[in-house]
Amino acid sequence: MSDLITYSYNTPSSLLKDQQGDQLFLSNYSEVQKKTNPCFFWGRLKDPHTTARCLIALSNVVQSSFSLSPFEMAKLKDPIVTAGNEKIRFEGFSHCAGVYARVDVLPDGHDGEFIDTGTTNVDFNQPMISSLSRISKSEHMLLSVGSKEVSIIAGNRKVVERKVPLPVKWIKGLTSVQLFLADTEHRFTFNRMQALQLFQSLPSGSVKTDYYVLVRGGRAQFTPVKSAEAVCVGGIHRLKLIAPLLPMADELKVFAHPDMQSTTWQLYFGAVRFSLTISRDSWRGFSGEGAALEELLEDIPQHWVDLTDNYSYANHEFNPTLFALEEDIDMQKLSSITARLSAMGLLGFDVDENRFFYRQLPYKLERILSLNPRLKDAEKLLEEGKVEIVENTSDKLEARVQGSGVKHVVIIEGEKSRCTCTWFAKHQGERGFCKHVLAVKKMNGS
Amino acid sequence: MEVDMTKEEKFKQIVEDGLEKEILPFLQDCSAAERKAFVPNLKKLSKYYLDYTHQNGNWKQRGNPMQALVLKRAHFVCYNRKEYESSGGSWSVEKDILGEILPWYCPSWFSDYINGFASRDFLPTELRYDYILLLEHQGYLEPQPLLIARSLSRWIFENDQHGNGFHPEKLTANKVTLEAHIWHMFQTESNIHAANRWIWVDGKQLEKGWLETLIAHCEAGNISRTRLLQEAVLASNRNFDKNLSGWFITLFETLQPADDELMALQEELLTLLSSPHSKVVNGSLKAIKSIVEKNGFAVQSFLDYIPVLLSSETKATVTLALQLMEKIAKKEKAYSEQVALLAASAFLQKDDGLQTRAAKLIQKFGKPENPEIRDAISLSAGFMLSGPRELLVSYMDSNMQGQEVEEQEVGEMNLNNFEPLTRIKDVDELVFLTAQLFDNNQSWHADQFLDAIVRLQDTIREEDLEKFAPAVQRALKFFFGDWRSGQGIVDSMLAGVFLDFILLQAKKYPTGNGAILKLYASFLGKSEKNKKVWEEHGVATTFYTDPDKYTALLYQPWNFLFKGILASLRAERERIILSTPTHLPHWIDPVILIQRLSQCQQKKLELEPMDLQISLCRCWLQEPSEAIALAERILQGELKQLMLFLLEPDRKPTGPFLLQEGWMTAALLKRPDVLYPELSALPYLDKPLVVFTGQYNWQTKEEEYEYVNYEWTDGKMKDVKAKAIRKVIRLDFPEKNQPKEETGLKKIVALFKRAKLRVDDLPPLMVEYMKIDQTFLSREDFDMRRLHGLAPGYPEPLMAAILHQCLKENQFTGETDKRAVIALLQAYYESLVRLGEMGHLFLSASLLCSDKTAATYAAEIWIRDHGRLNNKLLGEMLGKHQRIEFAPMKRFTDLVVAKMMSVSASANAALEVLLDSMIEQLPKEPVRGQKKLLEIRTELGKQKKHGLN
Repeated sequence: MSDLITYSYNTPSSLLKDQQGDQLFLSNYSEVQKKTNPCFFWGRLKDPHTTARCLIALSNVVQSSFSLSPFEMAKLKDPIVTAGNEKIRFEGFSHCAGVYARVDVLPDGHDGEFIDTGTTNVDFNQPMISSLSRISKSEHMLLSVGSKEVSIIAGNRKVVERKVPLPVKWIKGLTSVQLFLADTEHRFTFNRMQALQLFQSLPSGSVKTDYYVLVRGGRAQFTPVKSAEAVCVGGIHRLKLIAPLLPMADELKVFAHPDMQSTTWQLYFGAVRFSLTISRDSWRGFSGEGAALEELLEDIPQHWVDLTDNYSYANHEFNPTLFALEEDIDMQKLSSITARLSAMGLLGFDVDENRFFYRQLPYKLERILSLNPRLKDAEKLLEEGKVEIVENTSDKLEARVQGSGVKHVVIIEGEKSRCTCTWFAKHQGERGFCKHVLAVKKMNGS
Repeated sequence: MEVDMTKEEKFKQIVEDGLEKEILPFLQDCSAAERKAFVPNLKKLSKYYLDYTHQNGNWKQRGNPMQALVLKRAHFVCYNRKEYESSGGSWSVEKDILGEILPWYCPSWFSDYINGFASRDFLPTELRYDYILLLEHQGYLEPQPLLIARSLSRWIFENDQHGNGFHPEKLTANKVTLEAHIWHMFQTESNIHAANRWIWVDGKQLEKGWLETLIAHCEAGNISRTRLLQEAVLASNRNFDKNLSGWFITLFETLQPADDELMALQEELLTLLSSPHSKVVNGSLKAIKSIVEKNGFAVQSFLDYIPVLLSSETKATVTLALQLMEKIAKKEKAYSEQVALLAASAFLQKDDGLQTRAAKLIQKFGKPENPEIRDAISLSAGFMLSGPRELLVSYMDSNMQGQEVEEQEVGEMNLNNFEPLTRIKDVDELVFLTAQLFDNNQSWHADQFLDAIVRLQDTIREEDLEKFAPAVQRALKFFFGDWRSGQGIVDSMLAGVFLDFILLQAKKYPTGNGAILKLYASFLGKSEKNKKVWEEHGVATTFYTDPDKYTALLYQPWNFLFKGILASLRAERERIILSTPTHLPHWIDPVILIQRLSQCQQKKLELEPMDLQISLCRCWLQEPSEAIALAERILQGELKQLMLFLLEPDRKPTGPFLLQEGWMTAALLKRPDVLYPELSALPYLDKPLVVFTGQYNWQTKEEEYEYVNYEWTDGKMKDVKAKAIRKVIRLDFPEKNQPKEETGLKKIVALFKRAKLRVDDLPPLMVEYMKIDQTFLSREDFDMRRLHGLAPGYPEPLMAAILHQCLKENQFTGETDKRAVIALLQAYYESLVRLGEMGHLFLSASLLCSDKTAATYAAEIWIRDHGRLNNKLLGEMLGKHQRIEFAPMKRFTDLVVAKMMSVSASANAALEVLLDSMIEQLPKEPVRGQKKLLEIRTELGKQKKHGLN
């Protein structure tokens, strides 16, 4: 499969103004969509000012980078939109794949029709984003995700075709981050004043030290001092991306991964939500985290994908129990179903509702499965016969795996897996298993 | 398709002979397919003739200039866009070549190729605006707005032939320029604001630019004033960068719009209020100020932006917003309650003036009984200063008037606060520990490792050896220079210890050591010198070496420890390590230490002096009763006396004093400020006590220093020495460790005793090594937690060293210094010990340092420990620094307001003591920023008076 991807938009996205108000037209493209450029949503946004600000913030996220070279920056990353179940969700990642942002327009946030449901890339060009700045509170704004009528775009017709290297990090990040979101727990709720005060204590510049969220004397603040049960935020300067939205928000909720591998900052504006999820550190992208790897060890039956695709609709809650019953899957494996499907880009996670929702990433499935080099490397180790099990008892599995010039020791005891390789030595399993452990697990069928 | 060989040969010949005039007619005669078929050959020829080679001492292209010209022409005609760009076409535009070729060959990609330059950092000089118009006119190019904007922005500064000038009149040459193209500079990220930045005309930097040009054309009626105003407003809010956005709002202001013009643009002006750039927001506010009271102004739309404006970090924005709110409330009663309600958002500002202004607005326009206002004030009550709070008493419920804040519990002085350190239990665990031993993942890994190799060395079987191969490989790579960020000097030392340890094990199993020895051989074989050493010594080769001269002092304690342990292993001598921590990060339970000492006594094992000292410095001394009882029971002789002296608060030293380093260390740990007469005979006391305690005299002063300036004189660069003043905290290090002077009978007795006790090879005192004798730190920052962990109960000598190295001025000299200070503050924060005078000085310098993280850490230490710190002393130190304005006072007052104030009643009381003591030290002539300091002190007084926290 080509490592290039061609985004083909029939016309650029644009914000058009006429006497009735503004009309935000988002041009869409998906390499897996069944119809040609369907219209997913057409209708009025009830709070266009807030939604516009949130989309600008999302655009700032997708244009930001905290650890990449200019070459990587050049890759295009348009956000994706999922429309359906009365919700419109816009998702995007920073270039470095360490910051994930999502704008949710909830049922009360719009007054329109979902002509089709699904997930698609949308063109986020700079002129359109720039013109969003002028949406004021009193304006009416129509949103069109995909073209309902040809006439809307007739005056501006020009096919936009951009052939770019496949944004591997982006797609991997989109699959991995859902697993982190699913594990997060709600830790703090701040009202607007508290949230603003908290952000006043953001240190300036690019910060290398870990910071912690602390509430002391009724005041919320960021501090470099670790305290028991504190929420840890690495690369805290990335939070500045949501600072412009704070004065408008009703409240801010903070969710944290139990091992502090990610934090989610969700802002609430009535029927619009903006959430920002940042990775453990600014140099770590969700793409490099191996959270999904173990779930992909076993081959995933194609009919699972067909089943979810046929019976699920965009943004609908995904019910793993129902799925297990339908598929006659061992109920003990229930928890891994969602993990496996989200690792394949079929599910997103809503921390507020604490459940998965269906949305198939607008990329071919083969792409998604071919994006995990650690998994591929593990398979290569097995193919080349470089894995040797030396002990296999009920509570211990020990193996030797050939590395570069040395044989690594892998010992798996219950939930605990260890390896002598550099990756494991440095991260101690925090960033997913190394290829050696994955190979041993795969060989053993565990 | 196969190409006629003659053409191929002819093509080659034209290139090789550099026949510049022949290439184009030749290519024009060829078909598109033929030209395409030349590509492989063209690439080879280009690679050969355009390659740079070293000729006669210079780097030159292999081909001659004519050959290069021929190739460039061929590139454009034969290559596709990607090939052309990678052959150099991405850097420049060859106007001459294009002029010759375009009339008969214009590739389909040409227009996109030229437009592509616009989005790069550098627009080639050949792409002048008039040239772009020409290409467009000739039908070769469809210029995109960005290309027009970027080329046009510099066009008025370009002379027609060459060089720079200022030609605003050129804009009228083409009708399309002023009618359409000029607006592209407002709609795309052009360089309009800085286009004249590097323009020199007649030896002077050009002062005029686009601002003057646009205004002149507007006044001359060439540009519509209405459109110019509108485009300027819109352009200042297009997500452009700060400078470009700011330039557009300046243009708008310079045009001095009249009120009716402003009214027509009010919708656009309002959207500027959510700009991320304060200059744009303030520009808009100033404009709105003129029309806010006019009929027809969209008051509600403006009020919608108030929460954003009042949370701005720019004081001028908040001030202006409050002014406008007052105007609105005065004029239109319908909005007065809403204005009062919105004003509560301003209490987030920590400025007394702004808060007071907001409070007065509420007082004037808000009804105290309005529940919405009461709710808003209730949300903001926690942020209010006492002045505004007094103004709004009637708006608050009684429970809001004095908020009780929970006192933060200071960590109890209990060893149970620290997690026990797990010991490595078997060889497999050791294998995985060694795999991460040089990653500096945890500061105690070195201790765990030493403990494990001493205990488990005999349990390593022949077949286990190979398991260590990955760690051996990493250690060898590290040893030969594969250093990664985060690895300290201790990691390098550990790599040596580990390699020597594995070699010792390999020696035991000659048949099972193949894989390991192969690794050693492969690495050592990388250089002839190493290979020779390996061949000569084989497994007798040692990797562990003393630390280099730059780091010799600070790393000696580990050096002694590592060498001692390796010596025991080599001699197969039984060893019990005393200094292995029992609790994280580096504490030792005194009960366990006594048990270890007792085992040594029972087995008659010799104590290593450095190991003993580290163990004493790591000993938890806060809860000694169980340990005292145990020492009484199981220890004998001098060790028993030593431990009882250390643990019992009132106990005096009792001889014999053969374990001199132990007695001296124990005495320092117990009371660094006291000289026990019983120990006066210890030879260490030849040196001044401060060498061991780190309690140096100090002063903050201005001092003159010399530096070298480079000046260009008479066509030559010369070094010129210059003098300047700097403000520094200077520690008074005793020169060459002069002996302490004693007099009279004491002197005679001491001399007699020392003569008797003195040994030639005096065991070194660990705390004496806590010094840095180098200009710059290298990797010490990554070892700081481990350095602190050598003596967590006695951090002040290390603090003195780091203060002298990294904090003596108010700016850090580099990231390493900053990291070192932060790491030491972190390590100290986790240790829960009390600070002496040097610790207070370190804290005071950290509170004033330029790094926000380090200063915040210092503030957090103060918040936690304010009850057990000497706030008077700390304030006095801060005052002594600030009386010569060692650091900007704002840095400190901002920190106090943001972090240290209103934490709790007790913290406020402590802060009062600190500030009083600080203010006392300040000169009569106020220093810069002193007013704010006094305001904070006054605010604290008011809060106390009103019973507020």
